[in-house]
Amino acid sequence: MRDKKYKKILKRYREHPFYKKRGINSINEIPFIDSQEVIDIYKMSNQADSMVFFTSGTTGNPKAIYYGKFDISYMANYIKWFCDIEGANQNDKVLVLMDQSFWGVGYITGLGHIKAGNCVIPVDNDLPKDKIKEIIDIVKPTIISSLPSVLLEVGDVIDGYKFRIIETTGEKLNNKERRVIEQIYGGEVFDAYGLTEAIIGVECKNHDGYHFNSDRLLLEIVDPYNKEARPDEEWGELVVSTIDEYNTPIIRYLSGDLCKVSYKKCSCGLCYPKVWIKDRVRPTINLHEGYKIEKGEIAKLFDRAIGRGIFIDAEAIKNESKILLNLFINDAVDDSQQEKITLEFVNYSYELMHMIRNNKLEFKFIIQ
Amino acid sequence: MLRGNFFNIKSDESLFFKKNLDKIILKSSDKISFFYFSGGTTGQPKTIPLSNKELKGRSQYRSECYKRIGINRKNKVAVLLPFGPWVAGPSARSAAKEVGCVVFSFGLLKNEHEIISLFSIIKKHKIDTLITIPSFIDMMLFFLKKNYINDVKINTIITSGEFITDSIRQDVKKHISADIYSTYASSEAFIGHECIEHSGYHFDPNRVGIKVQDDKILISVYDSEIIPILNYEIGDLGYIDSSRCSCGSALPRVHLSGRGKNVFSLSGAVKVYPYQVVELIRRIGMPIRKCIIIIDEFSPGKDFIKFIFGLSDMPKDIDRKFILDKIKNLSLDFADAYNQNLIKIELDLMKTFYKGNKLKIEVQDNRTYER
Repeated sequence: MRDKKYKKILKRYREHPFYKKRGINSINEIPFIDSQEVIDIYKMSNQADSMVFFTSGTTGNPKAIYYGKFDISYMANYIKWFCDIEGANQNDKVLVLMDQSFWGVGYITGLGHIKAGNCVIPVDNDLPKDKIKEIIDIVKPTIISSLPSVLLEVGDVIDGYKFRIIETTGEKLNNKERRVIEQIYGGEVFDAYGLTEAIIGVECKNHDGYHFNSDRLLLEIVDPYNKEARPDEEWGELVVSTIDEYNTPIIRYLSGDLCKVSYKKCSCGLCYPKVWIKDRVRPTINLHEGYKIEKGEIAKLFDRAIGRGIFIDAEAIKNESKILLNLFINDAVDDSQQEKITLEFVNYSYELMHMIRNNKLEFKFIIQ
Repeated sequence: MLRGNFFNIKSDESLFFKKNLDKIILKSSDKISFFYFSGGTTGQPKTIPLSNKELKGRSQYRSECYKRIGINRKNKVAVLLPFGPWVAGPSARSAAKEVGCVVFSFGLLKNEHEIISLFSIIKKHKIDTLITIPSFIDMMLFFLKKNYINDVKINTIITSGEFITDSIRQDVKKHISADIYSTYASSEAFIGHECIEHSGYHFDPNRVGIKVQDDKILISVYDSEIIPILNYEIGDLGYIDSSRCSCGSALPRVHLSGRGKNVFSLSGAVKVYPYQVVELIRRIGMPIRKCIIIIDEFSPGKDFIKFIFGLSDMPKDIDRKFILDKIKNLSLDFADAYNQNLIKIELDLMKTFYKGNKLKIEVQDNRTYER
């Protein structure tokens, strides 16, 4: 089975202009790619008849992702597979509470649910809370699909309305958040794990790890430092290869996530393998609505802005309307330097610019 | 073939409202694929349930119109219309996809830095077509001029939702060398498009039926499935021209001669109907006998609306915050545009009192161009 998958991946590798120029003969020779190289793959892919969505990822440079017709269909089918595992049926009405334009996840989640026979209500998470409640009152959805932070934010208007299933994605969900969300929304939370570059897996009713379809994805675990292969059930950096994506095949992509994979049968009865995620390989700050930034990148921003490596650490504190980003530094910065640093953040990515200009992100410089 | 006389359905009593909707949802629940929303008054937003077949039919008709405008699979199209619960963005996106274009969906960008970053994306990705609303074009031109940007070039702009004037067309041609083609659509149906002559909207009588009765435009959509749209009063006045257009097309055209009484369009393609104002006054619960609505611009593409109420007598206390809150929630799309800072509102009370039971609504539009 794995041989067949390898052959398929090798075929994609030889067909795509980005990989073709590297001239590889066997699967073991395929080098790893990082997020910067993924941008090149998107640039060199066939762009005709495609839909473009944007993401900045965790390492800057907004990526324009060209999803071809077949890729969208492939991803929607994969979401349909998620729906089957969650137990969504044809009578379900799904409120997809995510960005519906710039970010592709909302659109693809909606399409996946349509493939699963559900009825979809696409709602932008920018809509005022009471309007979201109004829509819920009219349509009476049974499933809600959103980001954990959005669900927690909207929670106070839900007012006892019960959903059957709550789908979360885009952010790491901790147990406390899961309990609070289940309490507010009344249903069972199924978290899904995905990267901008590939959709990975979904939880089963055991809520322990994410099942992934090994016919669609090849997941490898490697040592984060020397990139040597790690055996099953050992923690390491996740390497992702998509098998059926035509337009932008992602082959041996270093995800930056610290994961482990197991091919043992799950007690839920599913034979599909599972992947667990522990953390990012490199320290990362979670900001708002799924947006993350690596601490290493923040240090680079400081270097670029003031030419000094004074950054030590950062922590994000969320309150109701905004995020306070505490930046721990080892030397004082004056007002003009603070402004330069802020400007570097603004220019770093579209999401950061959006958050800063809309007063959703505030900086506090703390000398240690 | 449809025979017999059908009742005209008015936009304020249609099946899209909640009071009629529950039965429809129950009856056709297995067919409904998407729920979208449109204006309506608060507590009664218009809900648009669509089946897959309807959605596909709409996209196909819209894409045929786009093709007639000259859009083809080589074009890179940016959709700058509201998404989320609104039907405009998703419909335009699926139509452009149906044509085979490369489609970027941005939603309705609302502030300077978002629009500036749009310009860089347009240049970087060689986007040549925009689908948007006229008030956004106004905003875009303002920021182009303000920031001295003169290297953004677009071939075609397709607009919908608001009226477009010749001065905007000329301004757009001068600054970004784009031709504007307006389309005629409502949340309930896509009707038609302008040709190169910019004289009326061509429509395909096999897809959408248009009838004019006492100058009022009535539409019937033949592939409507969940909610049948027959003789639906769209709220516009106009006439049909079946003569051959000088563009060469044999398709008939509908010409708009005005809006229904007091209907006005606001920034963000928001339409406000008299029944919504009546409903608002009812919700405020004060003895209001006269309502003057003054519309002005507070910045390009953004509207300022002043509500002046004339009362029959002075109540003991007036909670201005409560009234402003009710105005903000005039309708679902009005509230959305208000939250996106596309609309600003102000409240004033007349010093004279008005007796009698009849409510008078007056609209005074001081904007530089009509929406």
